[in-house]
Amino acid sequence: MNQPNQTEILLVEDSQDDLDMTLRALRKANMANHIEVARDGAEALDFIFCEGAHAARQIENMPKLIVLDLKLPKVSGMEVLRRIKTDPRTKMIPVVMLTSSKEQKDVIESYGLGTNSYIVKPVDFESFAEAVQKLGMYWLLLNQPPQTYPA
Amino acid sequence: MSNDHQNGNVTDHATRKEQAKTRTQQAETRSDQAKTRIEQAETQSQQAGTRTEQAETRTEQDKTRTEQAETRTEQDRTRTEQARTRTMEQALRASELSYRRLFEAARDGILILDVDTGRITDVNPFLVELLGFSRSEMIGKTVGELSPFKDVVSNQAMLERLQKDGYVRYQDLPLETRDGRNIAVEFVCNVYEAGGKKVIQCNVRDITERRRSETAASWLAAIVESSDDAIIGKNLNGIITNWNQGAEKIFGYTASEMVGTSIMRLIPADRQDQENQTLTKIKGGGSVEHFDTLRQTKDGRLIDVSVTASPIKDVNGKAVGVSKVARDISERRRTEAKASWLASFPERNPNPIVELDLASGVVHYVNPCAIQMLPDLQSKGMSHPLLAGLQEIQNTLLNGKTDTLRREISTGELFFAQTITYIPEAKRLRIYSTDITDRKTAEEKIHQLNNELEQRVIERTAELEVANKELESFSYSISHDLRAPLRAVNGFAGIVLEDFGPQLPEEGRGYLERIRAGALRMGVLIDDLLAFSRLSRQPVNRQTVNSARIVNEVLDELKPQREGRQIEIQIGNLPACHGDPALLKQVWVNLISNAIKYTRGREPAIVEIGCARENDQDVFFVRDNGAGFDMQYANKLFGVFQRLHREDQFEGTGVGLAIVQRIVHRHGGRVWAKAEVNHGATFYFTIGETKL
Repeated sequence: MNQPNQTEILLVEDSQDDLDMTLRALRKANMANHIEVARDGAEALDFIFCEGAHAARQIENMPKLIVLDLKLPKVSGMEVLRRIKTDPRTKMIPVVMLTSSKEQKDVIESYGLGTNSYIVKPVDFESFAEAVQKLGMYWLLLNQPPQTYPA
Repeated sequence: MSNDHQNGNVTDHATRKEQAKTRTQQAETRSDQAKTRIEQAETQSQQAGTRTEQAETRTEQDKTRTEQAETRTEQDRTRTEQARTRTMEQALRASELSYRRLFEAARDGILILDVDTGRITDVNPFLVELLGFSRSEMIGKTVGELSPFKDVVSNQAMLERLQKDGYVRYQDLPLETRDGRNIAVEFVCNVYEAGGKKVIQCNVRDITERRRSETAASWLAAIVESSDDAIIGKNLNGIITNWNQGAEKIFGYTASEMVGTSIMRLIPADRQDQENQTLTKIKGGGSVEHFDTLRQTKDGRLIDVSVTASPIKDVNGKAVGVSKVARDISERRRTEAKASWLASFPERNPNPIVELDLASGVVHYVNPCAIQMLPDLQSKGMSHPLLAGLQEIQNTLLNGKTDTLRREISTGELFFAQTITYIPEAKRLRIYSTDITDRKTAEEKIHQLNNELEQRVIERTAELEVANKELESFSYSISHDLRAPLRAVNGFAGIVLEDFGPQLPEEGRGYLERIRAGALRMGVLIDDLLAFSRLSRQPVNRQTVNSARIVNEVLDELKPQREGRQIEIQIGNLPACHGDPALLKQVWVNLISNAIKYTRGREPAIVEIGCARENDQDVFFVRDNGAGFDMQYANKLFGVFQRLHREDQFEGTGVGLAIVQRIVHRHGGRVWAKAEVNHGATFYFTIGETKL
């Protein structure tokens, strides 16, 4: 069912440490193929809306999952989320917030903007790896997305 | 009656009236005696010497009487003279002549009547003049036929009485003279023999003047007597001679008590000099009018009197006595005193009072306080700011149901609260003003201070908001940025262990584990610290909290902690309270989890949860039989990161009790603990005073 070269996960993460740990965890679970990484909010938007460096990309080739950190350079994770969820072309893409923030206001605001999940990055390495693997497992394998997205 | 007496002093009228009456009687007697004497002189001239002696004796008596009736004295003297002359004559002819002269010159009217017919045989000139009838008109008529006597004297009755008694007397006979004058006469008829023949002689005396003056005197006496003023006569020595009813009424003494005694009885000791001065002045012919003084009544009261004293003068203008009129002015004094007392209310009122007539714009009254406080009030009148806008107010008062309005008004420098009343009977407005400048100034100041305070609150709130914002972003940074490196420390240590663990010696693996544990612990510390700092910013949403239900929920949630432990939990009565349910739950979580933690190793562990009523307050408590602590460190118990046990004995960050204390304080309650090392601890807390 996977099309060749189709991005399965868009991982938006500015921290190299967290990025390495996340990718390692996904790799260990054999989910590291077809991962696109954006290191800030602007990059993420360029990819999603096929602009800038990603202008050649077809917007119809949606990632299966967007994993979004909140605190990002240039454009915040919250703004990226808002843009995704307010655009009819992208609003159906599952977005998982993966963040250090336990703040209730962040949780509430994220859900208010339409996030599909909110996960706090555990400090403990094993818990962190487990969380990443579980969310990949759930959204990529267990969850049933629509066959096609509306134009 | 003499003219002197008629002109005599009114105050002596009573006495004179008496004297006059006496004189009349004496005169009558004398008249009779004189007649007798004439008769005797005529018929008994031989015994003249003897009679002369008698006459002289009588003359002596007459003289005494004469002092009281001067005119008559003259007549008496004349008669006496005539009588004396006659007595000296030895012959009847001489007597007759004398009689004739007497008859012609008499100042009484004389009629001679025929004893049988009662007809007039002779009439003297005086009577002709008195009645206005000529001698010829009267001769030959009876008395009753004379028109003046027609209705008052019956000739027949008179003759019968004369024959029976020898005389007839009418004391007060009203007659009308020919020219229509009404006169009063005394009419006396005697029968006697003259020249061997009986005749009737009638004496007619005009007493009109006497009657008139007697009436006038009695009028005056009545006026004096009926006066409410005290009218007192006294001589120049101050001895009272007259005392009217008014005097009795005012001073309480009767006339009989006072007449003949000194006026000084009425005069208070300290005023007697005044009386002497008055007497001196009167003696000099002066008078004293309307001087107000004090007098003492019979019952000892001092009364206010207004006195007028004037001299009583004799015919020569010499002061012989004092007439004194005293009016009781006590009532007037009382009225005056009351009036001035009443007037003192506005006069001494410490607030301005103004009364004015709006129609005319005339300010009728301004009290001294108003003048003093508002010196331009009188000159400015209606245009003074104190009186601004009164026309409308009067219209309101006239049209409305109320007669009083209140307002506050400023005169620029001063503020007044005014009560404005319409006085319908005078058609005026009365304005009572109270100076409220101090109050206004204070109010202004309070207002200003309030504004300043409000401004300061706004500023401070803004500062606090800024500080809060900073704190929030600080917390946010902690929660996000501080956790990331910890995750890296823990994560890469974990990766090293996972990927290269077998190549490391046991000791190296142990250190890596310590690195991971340190990072984890730091994460917990950060989480607790954030939770604690969040408490300050979080609002307290008070509502009724079912304490028992919350405690049961907490015990359920703490089941993992109790796993594998033998813990006896005793729950007492837990009343509802008023607070934030989420925050209060945190309190119970922290206290109960502490109790479970610090009883580790006790068999059995006992945790008692309850509430006691102390000083009208519910005191909740959690008691355990665990490790306890030394009370000398109790003050450190609730500080952030303060711990009384080592980490390797009992894990924890030292934030739990600090959170408990902050929540309790934010509810206005208190938290404290009692403990003993190895004998457990009890934590108490109250929730603020707010009523449920």
